[in-house]
Amino acid sequence: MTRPLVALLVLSATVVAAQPQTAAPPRDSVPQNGTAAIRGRVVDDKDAPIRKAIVVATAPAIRMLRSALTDVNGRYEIKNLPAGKYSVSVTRTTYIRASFGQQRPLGPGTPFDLADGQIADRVDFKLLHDGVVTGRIVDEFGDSVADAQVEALHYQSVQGARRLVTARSTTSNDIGEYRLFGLAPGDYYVSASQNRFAFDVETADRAGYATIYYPGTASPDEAQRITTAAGQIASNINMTIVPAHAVRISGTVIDSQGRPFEGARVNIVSRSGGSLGRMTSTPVRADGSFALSGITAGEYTLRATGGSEPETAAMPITIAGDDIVGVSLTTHPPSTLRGRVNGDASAAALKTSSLRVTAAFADGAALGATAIPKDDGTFEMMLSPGRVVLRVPSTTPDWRLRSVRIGGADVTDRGFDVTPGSVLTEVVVELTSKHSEVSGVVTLDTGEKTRDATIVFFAQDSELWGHFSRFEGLGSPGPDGTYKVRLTPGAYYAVALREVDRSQWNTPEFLVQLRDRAVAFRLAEGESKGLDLRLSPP
Amino acid sequence: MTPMIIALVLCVIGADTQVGPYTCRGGPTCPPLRRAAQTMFAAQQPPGFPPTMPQGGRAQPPNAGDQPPGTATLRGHVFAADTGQPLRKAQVRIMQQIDVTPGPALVARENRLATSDAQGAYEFKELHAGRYTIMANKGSYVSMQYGQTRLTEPGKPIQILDNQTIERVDFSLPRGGVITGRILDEFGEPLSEVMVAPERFQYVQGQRRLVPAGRTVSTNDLGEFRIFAVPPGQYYLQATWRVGGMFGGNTDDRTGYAPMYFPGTVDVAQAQRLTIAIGTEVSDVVMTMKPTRAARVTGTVVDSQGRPMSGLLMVMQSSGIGFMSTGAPIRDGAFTLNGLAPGEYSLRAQQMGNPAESEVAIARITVGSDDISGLQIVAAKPTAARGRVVVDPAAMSSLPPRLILSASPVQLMAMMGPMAPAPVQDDMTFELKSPPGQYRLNLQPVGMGWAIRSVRLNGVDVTDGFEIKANQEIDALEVELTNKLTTITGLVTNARGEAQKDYSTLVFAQDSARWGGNTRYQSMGRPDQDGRFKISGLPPGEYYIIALDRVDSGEAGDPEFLERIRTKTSRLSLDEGETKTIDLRINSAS
Repeated sequence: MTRPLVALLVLSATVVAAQPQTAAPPRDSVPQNGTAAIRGRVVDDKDAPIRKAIVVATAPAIRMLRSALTDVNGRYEIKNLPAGKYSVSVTRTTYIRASFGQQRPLGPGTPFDLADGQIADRVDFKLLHDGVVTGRIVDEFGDSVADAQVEALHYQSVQGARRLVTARSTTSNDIGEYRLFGLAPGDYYVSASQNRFAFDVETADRAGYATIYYPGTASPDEAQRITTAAGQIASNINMTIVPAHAVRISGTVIDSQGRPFEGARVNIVSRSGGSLGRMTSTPVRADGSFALSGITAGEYTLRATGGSEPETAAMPITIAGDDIVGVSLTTHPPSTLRGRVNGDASAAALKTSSLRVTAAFADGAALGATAIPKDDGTFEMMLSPGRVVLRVPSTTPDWRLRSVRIGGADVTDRGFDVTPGSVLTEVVVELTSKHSEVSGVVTLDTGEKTRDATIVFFAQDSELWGHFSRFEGLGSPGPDGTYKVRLTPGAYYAVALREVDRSQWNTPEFLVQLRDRAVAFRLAEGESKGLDLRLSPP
Repeated sequence: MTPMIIALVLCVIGADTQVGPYTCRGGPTCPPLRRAAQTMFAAQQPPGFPPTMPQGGRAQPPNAGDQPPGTATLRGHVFAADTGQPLRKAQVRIMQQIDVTPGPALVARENRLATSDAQGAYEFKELHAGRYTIMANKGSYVSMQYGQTRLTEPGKPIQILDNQTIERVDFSLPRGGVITGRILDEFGEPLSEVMVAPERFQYVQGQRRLVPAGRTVSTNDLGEFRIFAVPPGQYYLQATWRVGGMFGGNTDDRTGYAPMYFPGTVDVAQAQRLTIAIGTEVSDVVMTMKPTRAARVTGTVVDSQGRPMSGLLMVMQSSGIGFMSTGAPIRDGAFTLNGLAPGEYSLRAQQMGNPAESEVAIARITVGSDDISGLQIVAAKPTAARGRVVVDPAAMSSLPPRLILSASPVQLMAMMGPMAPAPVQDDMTFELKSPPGQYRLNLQPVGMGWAIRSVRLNGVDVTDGFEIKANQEIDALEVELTNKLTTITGLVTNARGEAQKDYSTLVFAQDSARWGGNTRYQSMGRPDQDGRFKISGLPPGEYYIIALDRVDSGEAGDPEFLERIRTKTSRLSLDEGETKTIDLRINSAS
């Protein structure tokens, strides 16, 4: 039973790291030394010392983290600091991260000035435990279910779409018990499913198990929300896994030449989000046929990949009550995209080989591709068919994407269609070093400035919301009380809020609600605009 | 700070893989590990991988759906061994063995799952004729293969004929043991997310090693763990601390914990064994982890042209439970790993981009108490190995279409990657691309009645392996295929001439140079319900054969064991395509 898990652990590491990474710590900066120090004590809600908590101090002056561990008595000291305005925060597994001077859990901290030779004493913290959810999983006979996969899910914005994603997962033990821990305060939904590791399994057995959401529904929309608070345990979140009719999906996969797509695999992935555990796959037989068993009702994507040819096929499929026979998948060869990355007239020396051009599918149905441009700026990538947008992840902060054009037509935001087997050339990705910026302060009704605010920026044109939007941004006042955000030039709305659920701030559902109380403004290319905002009531 | 340049060990993409103690045999012959891997990679790979194969094919495959369903039925019950009561909702899996690949790898053609009903009954219908392995598991009970009498021995196959109905393939599952406890740090506070595994000595490729047996679990926020369904036996309990935030920035945290055995030692020799009997619970085992200084490892990765490489660095701890693994980004050639407890690690750097083309480097490092900085890793391009496939013209018409050759490393490595198999083209040529290393070729798909007869390179037989060197392309591999496969079958009796139904038949090469864990010249057979063993696919040659009352799993890879039993064996000569029937007298392994 452990074997597939091993592979998944190893592989999921690959998968995670294959995503573009952001926010690399500056490597070239050398820690600067000074004569100031920060010290204090970290305790729990009963004033007992917390050992081995990691205390981190940051300041613009040191351009990197300086950290220390708390000792047996919960004490720490960060020495040899240069003068500066410092923010201090503390983390410890199973506790909620805390920032010094914060007014509420997870709120912003208050930085303080530290002069040369000064020792900031009593920079103390009280940590609260993360949320915990516990319960028991039984089957329809009331028997304990061992090895059920139990997940705490929460809604997150995935490229501007609201999706249910896994926050923590665990498996039940032999007496059906589970314990999900390390949950940041927030709203969760808890699901349970029978863990079958059903790779390559054919079964005539039509007794499957659908994923159950607490308190006992197969639909995530009907699931009951569980709000975890600091230091609290939501217990008795018990669920009964009941059999659901499972269907068998069978059919054939042929390639673009009409031959059986032998040696490939067909996999099926739930479109309602969730984890690896809900994916199952089967090999394509020599005659091109395949069959997948044990699939319960839901919306899925069926995909064929990995044959001896680089072809792929994908189709959405809805499973209701009956077996599905005669599914016909026809693979198509990958399409080729060739182009060039240019700097605009403002461009200084653009080192194109340090950039990445990524292609993403507008519907998220297939996985995208990444190309590394050569030194002359040209790039080439292979893609599955679909509607595609190109992006240049901002690994170099000096550059931003200005436009993507094909044959002169601007396809930056609406994207373009890649047809099966096609070769698209003359794709021009233009970068610019001209930045447009908006900055200002946030005030309360009293006129008093506040730092405890998050500003949401979004396009006035709702067509530009959603997947891979370039016209959105979040800002917060920094230690000096002003915010500063770089945005793509365009027409925007801005709203300052006390608290923003970062898991769904850029979803259309949320932005629609903000529009009425937003301030409208325009930002031209290269413009630095001042914009002071009044904190919007909750 | 200890600057250190490390030796590079090169690894193939997706070949034989060992993840900690788990070994995955190359080719498509692998247990679920590889399947899962392929699925994941299939789902994640961009198109363009693997390389293309031109149109057309040799024999046209039958049309989809031509294969009729099987006609045999197999059914039975699952019971609890202690009460004799039926077990409902037990999972029963049936896997068909394929007669091609010798060695311990089990090749599955039919692979189905059934769930027992309220009376404990299960059934598989429409099975094709063949030799099957069946296994059952249920929650807190010990998983068993059918015919398994000892937990260290494989089960027995069942031979199924067309139209046959086989009844009473029953399982009696013993209740597993339970080990519960807590893992604490040096202050007596709970440590969460520590991996805990019961381990026992087992032969892995001929070496007696401590390997996890059963489940590996992770401690919760209270430091608690609960391991269940533990088969009866004697175990060493190991706790391995997993690094949290290994790839964070520049932390000063240097605290780590070395893998530890119960009751609190890093040395197996001082570890205390836990005896788990059927259905017993060992409660409240408390282990206190001892802190060690954990090191930071920083370094650079350059590609074969000496340019900084971007990609992914995977880290695997060679000691400990073994599959602690995670990925760190390599950005513009630089990487940082934090919190490595002292021990042996394998690093695998893979360039971003198409996996078939991307450069790869494997490094092994030993981390002591000091940070390691300036680690330099040089990646290598995949090197092409080309050749052609040779087939007896008379047998050409029965050659299956779309054959694929893949290369697997001769030595099993602790790192895996996506597979880059090479399709055999219409003109019978092929081109493999792989990072440098020692490789052996495998043929896919298996179970089509074909196997590799020989692989030659410049007139030298390299069937058992050849070296791919960096930047030295190979052009003239000659791969001869054959459909003349060997089979050995027979019955076993005891000294009184009575038929035996519980034994293991072991066949191994007379030439001791062909012994070893990963050899092609060795295979084992277990009796089916009629007491008959069947071993297929051994290369022609001179062999020893022996029927033993018991062979512990992995033991047959131990040269000392083979040497010890050699005197009791019979000699056997296998010609190409030969089917030999040989009846044997049972021997005691001790």
